[in-house]
Amino acid sequence: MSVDFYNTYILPYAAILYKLCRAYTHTEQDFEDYYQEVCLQIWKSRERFQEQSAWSTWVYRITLNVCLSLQRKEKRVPATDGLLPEDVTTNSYAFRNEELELLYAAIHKLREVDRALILLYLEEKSHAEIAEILGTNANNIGVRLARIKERLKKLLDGYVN
Amino acid sequence: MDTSIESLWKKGFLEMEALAAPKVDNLYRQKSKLLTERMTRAQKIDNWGLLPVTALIAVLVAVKIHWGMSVYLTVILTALFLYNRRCIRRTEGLKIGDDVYHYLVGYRERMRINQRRISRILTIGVPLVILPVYYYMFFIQTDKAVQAIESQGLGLFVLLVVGIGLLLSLMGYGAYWIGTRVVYGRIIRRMDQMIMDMEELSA
Repeated sequence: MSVDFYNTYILPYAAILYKLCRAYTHTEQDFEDYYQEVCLQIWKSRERFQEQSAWSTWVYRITLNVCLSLQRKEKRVPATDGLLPEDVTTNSYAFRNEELELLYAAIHKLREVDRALILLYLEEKSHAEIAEILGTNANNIGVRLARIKERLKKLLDGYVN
Repeated sequence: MDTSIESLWKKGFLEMEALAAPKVDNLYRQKSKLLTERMTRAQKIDNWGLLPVTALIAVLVAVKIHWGMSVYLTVILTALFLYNRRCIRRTEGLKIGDDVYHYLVGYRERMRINQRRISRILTIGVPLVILPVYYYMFFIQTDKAVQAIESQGLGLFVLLVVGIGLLLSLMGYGAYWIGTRVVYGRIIRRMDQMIMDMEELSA
């Protein structure tokens, strides 16, 4: 992969790739592996991109596919119901922002697809864009998002209003 | 104060350092290590599996045929086990170091050498194992060898033995070829793919 390719086609989306990979991993090592695998898959699939959708949509799709498939392969850390402060401190690559760390800990407890949905929503993607990236119908995105947000609020009980 | 999920998210990522994406570096290091470890593990299991088979054959041949034949087969199969073990140790001895590409290419090459050698050994070894047993069972025990030579002539008898030997060689080689592809095929394909990717990445 050339530096040019990385700078032109991946770097502009690095922030969201980062956030997505972060939502599917529990350790810094895993995170780096996921991120690198995503970059590699984007590069490898560049010739399959047919401009039927935006490049960003293509990139997000690949990122989610990679994260989901790696996640399924590994079947790591089963979700638990409570959100304890320990959940935050056990992350070896914790953010300096404690609230963000809490939010990520809560997101980790969501179902895999729900994680993708809420992250895209938080990145201010429209329902239509989210539907296109996830390959679903835009009609029920709003309802699903409302449910996910409710669940997150419960998990973050006392931290958000 | 607004502490919604959305504001937590936005505020959290205002610090740009939180978004420092990892460098795309040594992409295949971990993958290569896992793959070669898997390969070595599979080879070890495969090789150790030879020992119970040897023991079973040794007992069966000693009971049903002759103890001398049992010793002969045990020696040959144990030698194969020891040779395999040496080959595996040689590949294990390759260290990943900093250059993952050359490590993987070296590992694949070492595997190819091992496979070539073992397939040669089996090509010779299978007739070496089966022919004496066959000869002992059907000719020495029943004295049919003398009768066969007397009736068919020595030339035809030798031709028959060589023919059977060649057939057994072919079977030994074929069985190893198929077995290798069934047991290690997927790992080898992944290794080839990785090497191709690395070549493309560095192009």
